[in-house]
Amino acid sequence: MIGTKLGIYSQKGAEIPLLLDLFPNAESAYALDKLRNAYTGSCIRVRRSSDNAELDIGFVGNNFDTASLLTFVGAGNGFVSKRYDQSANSFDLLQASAANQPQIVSSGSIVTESGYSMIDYDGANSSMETASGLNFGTSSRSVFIVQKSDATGNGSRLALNSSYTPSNAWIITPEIAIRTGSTTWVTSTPTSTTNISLISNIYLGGNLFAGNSMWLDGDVVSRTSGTDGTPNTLNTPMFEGLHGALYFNGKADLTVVYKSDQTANLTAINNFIKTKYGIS
Amino acid sequence: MEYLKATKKQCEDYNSIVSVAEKYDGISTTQWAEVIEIEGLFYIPFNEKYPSELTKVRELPIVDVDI
Repeated sequence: MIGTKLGIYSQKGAEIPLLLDLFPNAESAYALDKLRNAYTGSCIRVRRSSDNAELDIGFVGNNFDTASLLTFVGAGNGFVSKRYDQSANSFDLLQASAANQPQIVSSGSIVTESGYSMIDYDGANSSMETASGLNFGTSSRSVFIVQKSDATGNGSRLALNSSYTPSNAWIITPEIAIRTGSTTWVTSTPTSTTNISLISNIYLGGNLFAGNSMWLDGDVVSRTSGTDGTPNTLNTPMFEGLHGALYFNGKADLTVVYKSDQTANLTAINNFIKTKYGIS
Repeated sequence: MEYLKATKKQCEDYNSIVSVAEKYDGISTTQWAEVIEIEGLFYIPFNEKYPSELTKVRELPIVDVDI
């Protein structure tokens, strides 16, 4: 039933406002549910293992079309070759190599965590990347990530700008940390390995120690180590699940990135996402 | 997942064999895998459907990475 995830019920005929309806102008946004009512594109493109055919999977109402996904994949496995950007900017996440595609269906069943569909990154091979950089430069940024970690090390859940050459990135890890090469902002507050987590990150500019803040499940987390400095400004593609050789091991769903300071909306965005995913 | 350790050309040839045989859509999925270079050595993920006489390794070597 539409609305049950949010605990919100609309009056007859009224649209339920979604995350990007309430907090618009994301630079890029991905989720296994619709993020704004006006979005008319697909959610993911899936490759099935039985014959490597591919199909775009969209939504039924505002929800991920799991029935079409399972019908298409059948009893085998399904892998994600594309995550469609639900912002207006078309920064789709892509993976053209079959061996590196994250998994969404395993032996005929959708990968889930606590009842929510998730995309499984194996910590060894799987990753996705945009075709071009999002060009953050030195600008402020606000990032919201939903995941369930299978490991809490320095594998890259999201690299806003990345490179196959290490030391060039803005990467968010389950430690929780921001790593930008020789400059790091590291906590002693890792994400859960048993429950879905929400990582929030706002950077306002300048040196990392003064300009960066992070939250876990809506609660602020403190930096306990790191090396201060300014982040790099490379305009390289954004990666989900990888930086250098450091792969994210866990399940991912929502990733929303703003090229702006969302401090004024932080609590509301966190609460919206926590309610949607049942995060306490 | 196991990996084949070989020359760059041998890894590229293995990728071509798998990619052609698997008939990927050529639009979103275009190949089996990228060749991986680590400290001058070359690797490619092994696909169990396509046997190879090349050397197999269970894991890629771990290298120190400054992130």
